[in-house]
Amino acid sequence: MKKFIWIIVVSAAAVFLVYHFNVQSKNTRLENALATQYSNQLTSASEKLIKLSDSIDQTLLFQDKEVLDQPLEDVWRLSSDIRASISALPIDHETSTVWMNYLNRIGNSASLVKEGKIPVEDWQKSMKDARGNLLSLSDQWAFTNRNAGKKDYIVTSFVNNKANKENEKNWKTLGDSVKAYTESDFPMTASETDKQKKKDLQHIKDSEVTVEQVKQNFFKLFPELKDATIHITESGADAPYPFYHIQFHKGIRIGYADFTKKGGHLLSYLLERPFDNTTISVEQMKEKSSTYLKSFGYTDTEMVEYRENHIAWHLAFARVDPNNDALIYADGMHLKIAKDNGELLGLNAMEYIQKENIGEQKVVPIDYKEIFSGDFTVEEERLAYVENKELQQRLAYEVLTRNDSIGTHKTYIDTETHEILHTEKLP
Amino acid sequence: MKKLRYILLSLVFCAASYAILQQEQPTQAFSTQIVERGAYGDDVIELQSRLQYTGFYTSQIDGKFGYNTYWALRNFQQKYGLPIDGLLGEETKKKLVSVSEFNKEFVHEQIKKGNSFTTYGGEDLEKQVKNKQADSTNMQLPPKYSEKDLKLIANAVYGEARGEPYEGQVAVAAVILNRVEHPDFPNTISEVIFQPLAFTAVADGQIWLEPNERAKEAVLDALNGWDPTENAIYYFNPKTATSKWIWSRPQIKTIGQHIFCA
Repeated sequence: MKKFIWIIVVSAAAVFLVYHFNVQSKNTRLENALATQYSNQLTSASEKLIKLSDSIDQTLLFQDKEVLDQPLEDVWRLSSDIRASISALPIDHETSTVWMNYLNRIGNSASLVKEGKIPVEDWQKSMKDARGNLLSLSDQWAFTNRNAGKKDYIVTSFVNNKANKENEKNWKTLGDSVKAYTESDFPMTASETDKQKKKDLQHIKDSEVTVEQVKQNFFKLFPELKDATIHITESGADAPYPFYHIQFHKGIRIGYADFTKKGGHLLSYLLERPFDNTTISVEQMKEKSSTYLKSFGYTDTEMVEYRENHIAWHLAFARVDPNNDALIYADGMHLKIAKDNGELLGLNAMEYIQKENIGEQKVVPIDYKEIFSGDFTVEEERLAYVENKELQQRLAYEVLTRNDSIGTHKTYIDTETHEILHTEKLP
Repeated sequence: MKKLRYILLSLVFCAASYAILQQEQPTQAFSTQIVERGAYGDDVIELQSRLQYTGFYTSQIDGKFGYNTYWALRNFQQKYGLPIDGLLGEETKKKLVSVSEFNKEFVHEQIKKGNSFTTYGGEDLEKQVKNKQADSTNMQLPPKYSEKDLKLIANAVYGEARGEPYEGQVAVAAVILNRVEHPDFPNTISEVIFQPLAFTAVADGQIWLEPNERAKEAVLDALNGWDPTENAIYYFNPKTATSKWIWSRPQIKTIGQHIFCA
């Protein structure tokens, strides 16, 4: 009898443990799913707020009514989108109501300005403060916030908070309500990224190079890797364009280089190694980069920007049209230079290999006062080729405008039609 | 008498040497480098702090020499009759040091703590620390990307590929960016990463692990244009993949444990 009771107790304990483990793992999975959803909502709302602020900045930049239409529409659409994001977040009710009303006002005002019912000047006056408020809200929700990037913080602050307030709702209902939120697309973001699309390398007409030729070319371009151990593979049979993939290893250096099969053009190169704490000067870095470009035969480029970080500089170059000195951003190239000794750590020539076909285009003189509002000063101008909405390369005035409180913007204006092709805020 | 003359001569020599040394010493604070737009680090932190002390710089002190710092420096150079070139050279450094104060310990401590603070002259520094976190990481990114993008992708890369070679980590970051540009996927980085069933690290919670510097550097390279996948939008581990569909995708290349596909 005793034995029987013992078996029942042990069995019950085993069943309980299995059940408990099952529930626990289900809850963890659900917790992960909810934390993911809320984090997505938070970061998405935060990103959209920055986009909204950028769109407002653009409405402050111009005074031409036609040019203002698109950013005003963006403001209206984005404000409505963010209201939807906020309503799906389990944040303090009062806070969310205040912010939703605020965003509602911004959206409605933008719509009224577009319809001509509110003067542009009044809008621009009121929006100078609004943009700051939006950025401050974005900061509150930023994923970069030390705690907000952690699952436990999101679970404690949002998921559990919601569960405690509405006890009758279990995890599943909460999950369903979050999933019910419909995510809307960003046409503006899509168009922004379109121009970054990489070039189609399928149509290179050069003849194919052999493995041996590409190996020789690799050692010619990177003589310091002369004794490196290399391993060469070919791209998959279904790859959109054929290429050779070289993986190399020499002492502390390990990396890769890709070359097109047709023509043996260098697509990209990247190496990793430990770094010293020393730093060469900017002048030395510029000299080194210029030497590297010459040795690779890229003599028609100009450096357009560089950014220093902990271990390296990232440099961006654009090809220069010899006829008018205009920058051709679509024929771009990137270098990565080590800060400790100026060694070439990376080269990316994927966009440079196939040159853009540039047609002739009229250059009609322009009066910037008709384009930019009086609050902005035009600091610099030059010519550059950028894509329009139809993905055609258009010659544009590249204009750097400055406003000490709103920021520095780069605007591209078609030299023939004076259409605004693209505007970006610079850090 | 002779002894006194020697003492006097020695004193004169010491004084002259001291004066020469004082004259040749560039500035006590900044490094000897010429600093310009695009730079990052301690010299820029000092430049921003000193420009803020004198009221020329009103933005965040973050050590990144962007346009706000550039215009502030030019305004400073204009006011003090210096060559207006936006470069922090020897002459500008000297002038800055002579008209401003820089509490290095205070400034670096606030940056380390991630505090929001200012360094305006004539006000108590301790009172200029705001009860708010600064919204900055310590990386300079291409203008189209934000620090949130870097953090999110680094979390994904670390969760998905921390055991992979460096090239493989850059590749995972590049796939995320390629998806943002691809019409079949969402248009923002966060939406791509958190798209249901898109990434294993999201499903199993490994995305919440704190990424290391290597993962961040790999993301930085991808944000700067490197794409070792040659435009892939999928990848999978052939040893663990259970989906038959993924094998039907056109394969581009293999890096580490991952096959990258179009």
